[in-house]
Order: sequence, then C-alpha cells, then structure tokens
Amino acid sequence: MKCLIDNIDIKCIATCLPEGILEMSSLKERFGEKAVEDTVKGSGIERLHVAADHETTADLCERAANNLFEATGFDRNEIDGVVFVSQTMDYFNPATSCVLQGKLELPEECVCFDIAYGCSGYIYGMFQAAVLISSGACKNVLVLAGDTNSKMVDKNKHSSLMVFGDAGSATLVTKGENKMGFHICSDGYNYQTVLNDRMGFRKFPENTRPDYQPDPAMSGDDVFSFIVNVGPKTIKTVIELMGWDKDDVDFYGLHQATKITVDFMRKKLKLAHPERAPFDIQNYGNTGPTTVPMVLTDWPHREEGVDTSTWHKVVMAAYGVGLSWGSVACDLSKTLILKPINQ
Amino acid sequence: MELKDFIANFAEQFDETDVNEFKPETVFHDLEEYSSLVALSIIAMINEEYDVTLKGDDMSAAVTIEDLFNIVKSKM
Repeated sequence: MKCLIDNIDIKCIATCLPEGILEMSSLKERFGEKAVEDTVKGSGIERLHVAADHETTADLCERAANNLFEATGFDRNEIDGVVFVSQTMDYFNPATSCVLQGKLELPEECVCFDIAYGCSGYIYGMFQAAVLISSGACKNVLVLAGDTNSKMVDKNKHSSLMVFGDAGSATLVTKGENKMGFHICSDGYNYQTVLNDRMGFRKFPENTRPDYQPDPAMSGDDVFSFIVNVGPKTIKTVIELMGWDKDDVDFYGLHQATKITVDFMRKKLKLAHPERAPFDIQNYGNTGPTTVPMVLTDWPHREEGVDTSTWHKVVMAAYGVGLSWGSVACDLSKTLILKPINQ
Repeated sequence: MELKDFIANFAEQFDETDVNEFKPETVFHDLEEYSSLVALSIIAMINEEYDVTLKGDDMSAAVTIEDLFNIVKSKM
C-alpha cells in the first residue's frame, strides 16, 4: 500500500522511559566479558531502561500522554480516537486502548483500536490516525505506541536480554495543513522469522517446529537480511511518492534495531548528510514500536545544535514482526517534540 | 563476478585475521574471528556489492568461502 494523505498535522510527540536501568557492563560476570563486549560492539547498546514488575507499556504511554497534554495545553476532551500499538498489551481483552481511554479521562465519544505490531508499529499507528482524520471520522487522534520487550525475552539468552528495552510514547495527530506519505508492506509467508507463539491459540503439532526457541523466536541473521533487503527500498519509495530528493530530507527517524543495522541503512542510502540518519539507542536499546518516536525525541534533546523547526522533510522507516515494514514522510517543523521522561 | 574479488571483499569483514588465511577452500565457520557479528557484516557486504540477499540458512549451508561464492552467484 502506498498513498498520500493531505491535511494532517502532527502536533506533539512525547515519550517515556521507565526509571529502572540495566547496564550492559553489569552482565559481564554472568555471561562472560567477551560475549558481552561482542554483543555491545554489534548492537551499540550500553544500557537499557527496564520497566518495573508492575509497570506495563500502557503505564508508560499514559505518562507520555499526560506529559503531552500538559505541554501542549490541548484539551483532552477534544480527542475522538485512540490507537494503541504494542505487542505487550495489558490484557488479552479488553483492548488496552479502551482501558487507556478510561485512565486518561478521554470522552466517551472516542473510538479506540489496538494494533498488534512490534518494531514496524509506529508506522501503522501514524497511518491509522491519518486515515481516521482524512476520512472525516476523527479530528484528533492519540497514537500510543510502546513495548516492554524486557518482559518477553529469555533472560538466560544474552543476545536478546542485551538488546530489548522498554518505552512508551504518545503522538497527537490532528486535522491540519500538511501532506503525509505512507508506504506499508507485508510478508506473511515468512511470519515465522519473528514469532512469539507462547500466548496465542495456534499450537504447533509435536516436532513440526524445528529449532524451537521461546522468547520471541528470532533468527538474527534472517531478521538482518530481511531489513537490509526491504529497508532502503521502502525509504526510496516514500521519498519518490513525495517528490523529494533523499539528500533534501532533513531527518531520518530509522527503526533502531542495532548499530550494525542503522550503519548499513545509512551506507546503503548513500546520504550526502549521513548525520541526518543517526544511531541513537546506546542508552535505551531496541524498544520495538517506540524506536522511531524515541529517536525523534531523544536525539534533539541529547545532541548539540539540533533544531527541529528545520525538520520540514522527515522520513521515518521501520521493519519487524509480521513480517511487516513501511515508511512515513511528513513535516515535523511545527511539531512540539518533548524530551523523553527519564532520558 | 570473480572469486578472487569475492574473497577480498569477504576478508575485509575481518579485523584480526591474516589475509593469507582466506582461500577458496577456507572453512570460514572455523576461523577464530568468525562470529554472528561477522556473519551479519558478510550478509551486508553481499547485499551491498552483489545485490543478493542471503539468509541464515545460506550462511550455514556454505562450508568454504568458495561454497558461499557459488551460492551468491546462483542468486544473481
């Protein structure tokens, strides 16, 4: 699917990291110095923020949303759509978006959706919000995207434990003046590449699932080769859709899986200004659907001299479980971009 | 697509291994420096240089560097 949608504004993006921190260096005794150092070298991740036992993605998104309302002064009674994107919902049912509608004291005349996607999730959330608004169905949509992947990983496997961190985000999308471009793709044939089958109703008959790994199952090589194959292509597609040139793009918010992935993407795109596609997850890790809003909010508040009022042309791209992938092109020059809570 | 160029590109993904270790018959999984990280950079190099996307199974199926070269060539 690819399309242009007009008359949308992204008013504000807010993110929230949990207070708990896991330093990679603290794992050397348990997993061995070489194993830890090799993983950090490839991932670039030095520490993760990890949610407390009682703390869920919904809590992190709620905090981000309240921060958003306070910072913008936007009247929460004007919200008429909530989209919650996560793999770590509070309950099997009811939908977490509905629960959050209650916790955030949003009006009753508000439509709520849960979207079960992981790393590509923010793209889906933004697309859903834009579609709701452009159809005239909604005027003001809150996209709440996040994950607490630390609760899902096998804690005995250092390669997963050291990569996945937790975060939540809130983005306010409204009727406005700007054009957005979307490109979203699916490859369900290869759904087993990233698979968490512990909690669904589909059961594998005995011995039909080779190399079973709990946790979610993921072959690092296959995920990487998937990303290198689809990532650059989707970015090129959405840039072409908007009639832009890749070197005129002011900022690339790329899904931050690991350093080697981001480095590859930057190299493959042959950017004249590679600093516009930063690697940013050394302090918080791969946070699933939140990596895109995290890089959009963390980078300007960490790096010197980043002025988001110059972000007229922004490309976001993400790829993950599904398999699914996509990119969004938009204007964030007037968007209020808040410093992450617990940065 | 030349084997010797492929071997040179392959060898560039390693930082510490002597360049003379890389021959067509080298069993690359046995190289001391070979790791899952190096495997990813080989996948990236092959995508970049030859526009071929390898999967984890392809890397496991290849025993020697020449095997890998043949797998890449078959996908071109």
